[in-house]
Amino acid sequence: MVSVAGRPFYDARPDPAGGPAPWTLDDLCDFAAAAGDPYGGRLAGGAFDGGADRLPPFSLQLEAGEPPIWVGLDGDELAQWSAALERVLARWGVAPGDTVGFYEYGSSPLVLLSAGSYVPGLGRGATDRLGADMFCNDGMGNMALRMAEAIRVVRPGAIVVRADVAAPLTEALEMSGVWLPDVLRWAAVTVPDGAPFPGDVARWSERWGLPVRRLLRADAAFLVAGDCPACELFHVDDDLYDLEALPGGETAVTARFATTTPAVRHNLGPAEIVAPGCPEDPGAARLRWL
Amino acid sequence: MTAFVERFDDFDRLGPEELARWWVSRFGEVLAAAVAELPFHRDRFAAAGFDPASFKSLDDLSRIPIMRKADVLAAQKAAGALDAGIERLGQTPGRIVTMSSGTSGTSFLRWPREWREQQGASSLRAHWWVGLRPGTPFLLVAPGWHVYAAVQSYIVEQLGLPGVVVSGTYLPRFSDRILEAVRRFRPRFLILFLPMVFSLLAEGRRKGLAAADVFGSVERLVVTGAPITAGMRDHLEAATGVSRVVELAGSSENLLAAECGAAPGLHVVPDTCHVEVLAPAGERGPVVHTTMVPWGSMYIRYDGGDIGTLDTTPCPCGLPSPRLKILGRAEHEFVLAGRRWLPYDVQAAIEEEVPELAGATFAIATEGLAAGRLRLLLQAPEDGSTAALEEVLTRRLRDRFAVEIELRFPRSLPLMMKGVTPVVSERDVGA
Repeated sequence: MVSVAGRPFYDARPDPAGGPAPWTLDDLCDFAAAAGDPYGGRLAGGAFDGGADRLPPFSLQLEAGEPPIWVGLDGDELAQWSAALERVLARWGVAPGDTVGFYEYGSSPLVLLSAGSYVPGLGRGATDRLGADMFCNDGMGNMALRMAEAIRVVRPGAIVVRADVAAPLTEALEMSGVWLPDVLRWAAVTVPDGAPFPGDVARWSERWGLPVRRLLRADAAFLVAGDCPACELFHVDDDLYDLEALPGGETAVTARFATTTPAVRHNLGPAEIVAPGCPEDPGAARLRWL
Repeated sequence: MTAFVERFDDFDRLGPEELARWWVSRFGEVLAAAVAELPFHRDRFAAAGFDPASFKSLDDLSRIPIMRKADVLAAQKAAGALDAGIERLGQTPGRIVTMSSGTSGTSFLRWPREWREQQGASSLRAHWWVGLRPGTPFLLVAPGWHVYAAVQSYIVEQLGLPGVVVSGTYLPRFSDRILEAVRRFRPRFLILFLPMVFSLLAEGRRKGLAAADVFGSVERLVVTGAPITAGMRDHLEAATGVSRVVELAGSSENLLAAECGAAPGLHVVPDTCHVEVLAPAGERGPVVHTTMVPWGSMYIRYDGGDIGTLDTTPCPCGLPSPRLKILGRAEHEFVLAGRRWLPYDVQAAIEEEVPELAGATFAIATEGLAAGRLRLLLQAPEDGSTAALEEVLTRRLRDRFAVEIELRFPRSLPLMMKGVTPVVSERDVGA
């Protein structure tokens, strides 16, 4: 278990059973607002006071949550978070020589963790280690035509798309005469916190004419997981994350590698831990997102 | 880091002739790689009868054919794929693809890690010139589609700076988040796309903050993305309270130049690029540049559509490279009374004739140009007093541009036009 002693956020929420009580993103945001601490009380040494000497090597503002929360990481933590993304992409078939396109902000962890070129201290990112190339189109809806052009010219094997720009992308693809199955093997859809709705994903899959995968993200807890084409559940890497069933059908996650702004017992909300047994990866820890 | 500083000292102390020799040597490497590995360049060289082995001095530059973005787009189209035949990719897996900005079509550029190492070191030199030092948080401001995203992360790594990434992207829509980051982390060095400076100021005003509450920590404000006039620099310093505003110019195709402050113009960063201006000495003309980093998408004698001047006279700062001043885009040039002008010229003229208009937001109307006049769409003064302004400005600008001057005062103009004067139809801005 990662030590959280001396971290104001955790000190303020003891669990009678020991350790910190499970927490949601809203809890973290509320604490950050009350304490005036952009890191939400998760840095060692008390609330962040603006001192440059207390800044982590890398700080990232999360898109989800209000007020916005910052997480801190060092190179090792970045590498481990990136390894989770690498395993998702590998499971979905990204291989050496591929290119993965992101219709997502450059500040998204998915983009940052993909290429070591983007993040100081990361070294090699997820696509780097897979021997693949990548590009990022930025995540604005008005960039949809450029994304369609990028797909036509760069010819990625796969794309990752923010759910909120899936509709403009669809329109742009039609305007540009780009038919995704001519280029891509699959697309994945992501939201800043949680996972896209299965019904939406099914609709995009039908519209785009190819398999559409789902990403599950809890950036405040450094969690990234992908659904499995075989069992349709999210595979969670148990060497990086601990899952814990909570009362009421909810699930908490702890990122084993996060030490700068630890993520211990982050409540993902309604989700069910499913016993291993996927036909493709029988030992994988699995999660059903509800 | 010490090694970098020493290298800056050595390299930056070259005399102009030594730098010319260094450039000739690096041209040799670039041209050799191009002819050996890159069919786009090999074919163009052959068609022009240029043998790279015959390149012996910078006087030989004129024998190398000029390339333009349209050539790259045509090559990509002919290949039916990303590869235009200008990409030298190396052996290291994990490349990034970035996109060019501009209105003349999007080209896609590929960058291997080998490129990042060399380009990063050169860009670090430029950032050092403009005052970046260890000890400050660094806001990584480049959007992921832009090549600078890879360069700035290298700089942060090498200087051991705390890196800070704000969610969203660097557009005015996200100025509240960027503002919060600047106030929280108090960087001493801040690099921003010019319109974002004004977006942050506007966001600060919305929140009831003074400029010092936003930029109070910033000692060096580096602006990029648009050429700034002397009046705009004064305006930026006054509006932000930052004592040193620095211009830095770059392009996706490996152009980089940075201001030293000791003399007008921006020093070409010599291990990023060699720059020519195709005009008699000191006059304005097309900016043509060649990458000095023989990796990735290699642009050789590339006319990217910028118009500028190049000053080769010695600079008091001691840096040996010539000073470039980009003035605008060729596509934005217009003709008045038989002379070619750029929006920059109009902005500079307005500031010189009516200094209190430095930093004013305005646009040039295409309808006026079509009638042989200079019709300006000028954001009305807050006190609504347009009559006196109109009289003074029209009289003085008429003398400078030798055409009739017309002023229109739309209620508001988009903030993105501030400092980046567009040539637009009045219909597009609702004037």
